[in-house]
Amino acid sequence: MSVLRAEALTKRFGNTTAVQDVSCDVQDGEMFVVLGHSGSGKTTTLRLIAGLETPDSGDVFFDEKRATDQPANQRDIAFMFQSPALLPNRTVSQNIAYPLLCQDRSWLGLLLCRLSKDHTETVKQWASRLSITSLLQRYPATLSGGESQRVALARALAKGSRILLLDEPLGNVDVRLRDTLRKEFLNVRNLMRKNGGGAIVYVTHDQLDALMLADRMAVMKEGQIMQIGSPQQIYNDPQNLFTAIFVGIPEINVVPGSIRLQTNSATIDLLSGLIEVELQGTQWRTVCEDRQTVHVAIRPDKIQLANEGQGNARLLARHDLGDHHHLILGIGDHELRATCVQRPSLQVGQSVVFSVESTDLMVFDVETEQRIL
Amino acid sequence: MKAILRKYVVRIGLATFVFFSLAPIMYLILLAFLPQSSFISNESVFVELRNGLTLKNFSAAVTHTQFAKRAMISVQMTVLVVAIIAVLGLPAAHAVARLPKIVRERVAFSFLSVRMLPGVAICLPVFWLFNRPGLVPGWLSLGFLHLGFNLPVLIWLSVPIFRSVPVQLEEAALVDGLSRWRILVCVVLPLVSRRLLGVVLIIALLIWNESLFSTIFRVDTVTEVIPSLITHRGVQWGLVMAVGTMVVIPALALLCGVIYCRWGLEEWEH
Repeated sequence: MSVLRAEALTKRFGNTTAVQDVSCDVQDGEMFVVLGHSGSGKTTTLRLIAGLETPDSGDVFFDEKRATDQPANQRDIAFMFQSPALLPNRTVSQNIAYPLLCQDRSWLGLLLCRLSKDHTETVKQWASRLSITSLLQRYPATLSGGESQRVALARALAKGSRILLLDEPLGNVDVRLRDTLRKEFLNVRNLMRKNGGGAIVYVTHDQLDALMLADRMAVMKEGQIMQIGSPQQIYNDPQNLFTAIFVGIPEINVVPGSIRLQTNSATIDLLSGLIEVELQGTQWRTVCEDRQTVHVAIRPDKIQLANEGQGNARLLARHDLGDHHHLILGIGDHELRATCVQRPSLQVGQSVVFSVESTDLMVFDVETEQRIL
Repeated sequence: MKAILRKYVVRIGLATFVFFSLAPIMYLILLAFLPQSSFISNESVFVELRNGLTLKNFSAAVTHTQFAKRAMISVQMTVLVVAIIAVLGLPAAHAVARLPKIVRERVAFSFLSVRMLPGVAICLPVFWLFNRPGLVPGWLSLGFLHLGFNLPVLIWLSVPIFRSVPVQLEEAALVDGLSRWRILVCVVLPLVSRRLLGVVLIIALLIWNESLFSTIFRVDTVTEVIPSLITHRGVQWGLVMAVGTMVVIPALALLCGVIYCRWGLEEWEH
C-alpha cells in the first residue's frame, strides 16, 4: 500500500519552475531517496509534501487520503532540516521532547518546557538508541555537527509520525561520521518496519547516500524526475544520459558513436572510428538507422585492460585508491576513465590495450538523450 | 608612535563626545538646586554656587504644578499605550519579518513613513476632528496619536530582530504541530525577548518625552507643564529646572534600560 503519494506536483517561484509535474509513490516500509544536484527541486518537493510550501498544482496523498489542503501543523509527518534547527535556549532533552510538548497543547508547558515522566521516558529511549544519552543536559551550541544531527533526528523520531521526511540530513556532517549516521538511518527504517510501517523520504545530493540507503530512489534534474527505480536499476539500467552521468563513481564515459548496419552484422564506431565494436543480437535493426550518430556510455569498470583488444591508448594518469586504481586513458584527442584492480607495473605514459564488450555499451539518442539500447 | 597618537586622538574624541552629551543634563540638574535669586543675578553659575544649594525649587515645583498627579497621568499614559503598541505591533512585526524580501522592505518603509510627517501638521486636524467639546476626551485623543505615531516605529525596529531567528526553528515548530500564535509566543519570543524589551523601552521613552501633543490636547502630563512656567511675569527658572530634572531622571533610567537590553546577550547566549 502506498503510504505517501505525490501526483503531478508543480511549484513555481516567480518565473522559475522549481518543481514540475513530479509524481512518486512511496510504499509501506520503504526508504525513498530523492537524488539531485542543488537547485534540482528536491528540497522543494520535500517541502511540498510536508506542507511547508503550497503546490501551484498537483496533490499529495497520505495513506490514499488527499492532504494537499491540510496545513503543515495538522499533517502527521516529521521533518528533519538540513541545519539541525534545534532551539538554542532549550537543553537537548527539551528539544527532543518538544514535539511531545506540542501535542499536549498547553501554552505554559511549552513556555516552561517541563518534561513529564512519560516524556522523559521517551526521550531516554530515543537517546539511548541514537547513543546521545550523555548529551541530554547540554545546550545545542555546545554540540558538534554530528551530535546536533543525531539530536535533530531524535527530535523528529520522538514525534512518532509514520512519515519521516529528511532534508539533506548529512549535509553538515563530516565524512567520517556519515557512515555511522547512514547506519543509524537504516536502523530507523528497520525499526519502523517492525513497529507497523511507515515511510521515509530522504533528500540528498550525495549518490553514496542514495545507493547505500535507498529501497527505491528518484533522480531529479531541473525540477523533473528523470527516473525512479531501485539503486541497482538506476545504476545498471539508466533510462537517460543525465542519470547515467550522475550516478556512478568515477563518472561514466560518454563518447560519440555511429552505427553501421550491414546485411549480416552491425557495428558501432566509437570516437570517430578509433574503436570499432561488433554488436550482438538483432534488435539494433529495429531501433537504429544506418549511420545514425548516438551517444555511447561505458562504465569505467567495463573498460578492461587486456593483451589484445579493440583500442590502443596511452595511460595519462593513475590514481591509487588502495586496492584499485582509477586510470585516465588517452586515445586520440579523447580521454577515457577506467578502473582496474591493483597493478603496480602500470606506468604513466606507457601504451595500453583495452577491450569493450558490446553488452556493456549504453546507447542514447543524441537529441532526446533518452536510452535507445 | 602612530599607534600611541591614534590612541590619544580616539580618547580625546570620546571625551569630547561624552562631555557634549552629558553637559546639558548635568547643567540642568545643577541649576535645579540653585535658589531663585541666582537666576536674576548677572554672576556666573559657578559664583552663585557659593550661596549654597537648595531643595526649595523641587518643593515649589511639586506643590505649584501638581507634579504627583501629572507624574501619575504620564506613567499611566506611557504604560497603557506601550502595552497596546506591543500587543499589536509585535505580531505585526513578526508577520512582516517573514514576508518576501521586496514586499517586506516596502511594507516596513511605508509603516515608518508615517513618522516622517511633521507631528503638528497631523495633530491639529486630529484635534479639530476629535476635540469639539465633549466629543472625545483629550487623554483618549492623545493616546490614539501616540499609538499611531509609535506603532510603526516599534514594527520598524522589531522586524530585524525577528529576522535574526532562523526560519527553520519556526518551520520545525510548525511541523511539530504548533499554530502561528503559539510559534510566536512559545518559540520566537523567548529567543529574542531581551532585544524586544529594548525596543519596547525605546517606545516608552518616545512617549514619555513627548510634549507637543499633550500641550495641544491639554493633557496634564509631566512635560506639558514646562511651557506653562513661562508666564507673563517672566520665566520661573527654578521651577523649570526642577521639573526638567524630575522628567529627565526617569528618561535616563529608561535609556539605561534600553542600553542594557540592546547591548547585552540573550539569556541563552551566555
